[in-house]
Amino acid sequence: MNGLLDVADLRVEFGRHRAPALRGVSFSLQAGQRLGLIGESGSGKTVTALAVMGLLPETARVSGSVRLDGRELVGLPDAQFSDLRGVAMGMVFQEPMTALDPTMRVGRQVAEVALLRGRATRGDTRTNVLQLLTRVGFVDPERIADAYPHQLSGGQRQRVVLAMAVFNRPGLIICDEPTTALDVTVQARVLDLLDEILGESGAACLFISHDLAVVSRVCSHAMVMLDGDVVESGPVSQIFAAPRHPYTQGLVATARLDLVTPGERLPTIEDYFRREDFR
Amino acid sequence: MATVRAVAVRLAVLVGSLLVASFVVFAVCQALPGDVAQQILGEQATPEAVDALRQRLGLDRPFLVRYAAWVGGMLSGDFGSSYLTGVPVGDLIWPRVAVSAWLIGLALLLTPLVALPLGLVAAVWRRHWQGFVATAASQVGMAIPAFWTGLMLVSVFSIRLGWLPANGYVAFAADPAGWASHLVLPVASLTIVQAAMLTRYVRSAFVEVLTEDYFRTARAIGWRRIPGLLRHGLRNVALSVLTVLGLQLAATVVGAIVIESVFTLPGLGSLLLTAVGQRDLQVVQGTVMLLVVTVLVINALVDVSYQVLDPRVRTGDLR
Repeated sequence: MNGLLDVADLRVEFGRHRAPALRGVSFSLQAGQRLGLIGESGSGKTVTALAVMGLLPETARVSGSVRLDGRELVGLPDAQFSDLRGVAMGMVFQEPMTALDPTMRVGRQVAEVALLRGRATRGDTRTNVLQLLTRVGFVDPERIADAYPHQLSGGQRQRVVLAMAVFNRPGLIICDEPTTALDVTVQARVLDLLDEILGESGAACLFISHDLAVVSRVCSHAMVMLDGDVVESGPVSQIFAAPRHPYTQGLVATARLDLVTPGERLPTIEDYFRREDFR
Repeated sequence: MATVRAVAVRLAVLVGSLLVASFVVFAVCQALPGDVAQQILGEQATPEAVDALRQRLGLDRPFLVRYAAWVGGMLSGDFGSSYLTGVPVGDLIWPRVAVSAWLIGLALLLTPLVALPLGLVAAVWRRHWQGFVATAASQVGMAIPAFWTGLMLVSVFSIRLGWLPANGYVAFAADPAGWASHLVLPVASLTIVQAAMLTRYVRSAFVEVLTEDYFRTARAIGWRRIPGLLRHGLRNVALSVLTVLGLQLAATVVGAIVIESVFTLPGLGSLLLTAVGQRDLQVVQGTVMLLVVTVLVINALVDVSYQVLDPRVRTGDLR
């Protein structure tokens, strides 16, 4: 396996007395590939993403292997890890309302991504920031750059965070439920934007969601997680057409509302999968 | 606009608190047992003589009239005169203000300078020995009373090592080096206690920032832990530091009174203690009022400074 990102037997534990958050997760992501990570909350999606970014809390015990461009990241000292973040990989988080520093103007926060690398002058940076804000769909970048986060809507903030993640054109972008906190129309616009930017930059994407429909819109491949294990993976079309694991079958059924006969009860995952049967 | 109104409201609150405080200070001093005129003239004085003195001092006037006269006098800079010695209270207070102001001011300045780095270490390495040491040091510092810290510092640095004077004071203008050497130990003993307390608040403020989503975002764009904390955490930590420092001001003033008598510094604290001992109420009233005004005004300034530090407060649309 020699992809952009190779994860092998990744295990994460928080303390001895709690069930492992990840029980040996393996997957591979090629350059430019988009992989959806699907599962309910607590299934280990976010832990996987944070492990790749090296942003797990100190209490986490990580074993296994995460390789980015062949470089082992597990056990990498934080100083070296920090140099990769924002350059080789960027991340968009779930909660746009709290993801930005409330005391700092948006433009300065975006500019930090460039200034951190110490290769841009302030004047250049301002121009770059405004260009980037235009790129993520703002028609009035000047106003946005001079605004504080609380003066922007959730969708606007998420576009700002996306701008920060892609500023240095990283080869890998991790999105952790980037549209979950947004309302449906805004969600569609942010997804289109993400799709566009990924297509343009050719970056690979690890896209986390609990929503199969959203994943199928952005990703070519998907991986279903349950209680810290990967239970199924493959091309999105294949997972949709012929889900093998009962949990995935439930997910697909709940996502295909077009198949529901009006008047009938909506399907639930429990119709297909009961956790007790698998313990 | 919102800022101007907020500041105006805060000023009105300040004036109100000053009025209430002055009334309480005055009322408490008046309610203390013992008749001033009787005390001045002694046990053997005739009732007529006492009455005459009461009249001369204006003590026979109604309570509210005396209160109004006192407040009015202070507004024009006249704190009245000591009943015991006849010396104007202002003449007793002003020469001593500089001593207390240096002591309290330096301690308040040094407190955050000590507490911020210590709190940062305690927060970032809270699961390692460095953080444990910092936290333990702050616990110990809080548990020890300031006067005891002062005595310990004296026994080490003055008596054993002989590096610094154990007591007394020299004016800055007269001898800057002597001034500094006389202030080192009192300022240190006051700072240690206050910094220990503030360290706890700084630590929990930094720990909070460490768990904030925006700090995770900062880390995700490549900030290392400590530079990122300083860049994105300091402003948020500054808010809680300011609040706690404002509250600590009163404790520092009280601590200074004790420290001044430990080191026999000729400040307001020692003046106050002597005056209380002699039941010299005019001096007590005036000194306490000056301290209360200082504390209230600085707390008002702290509140106003939030407007500058937090844009959400400033723009008036905090969500």
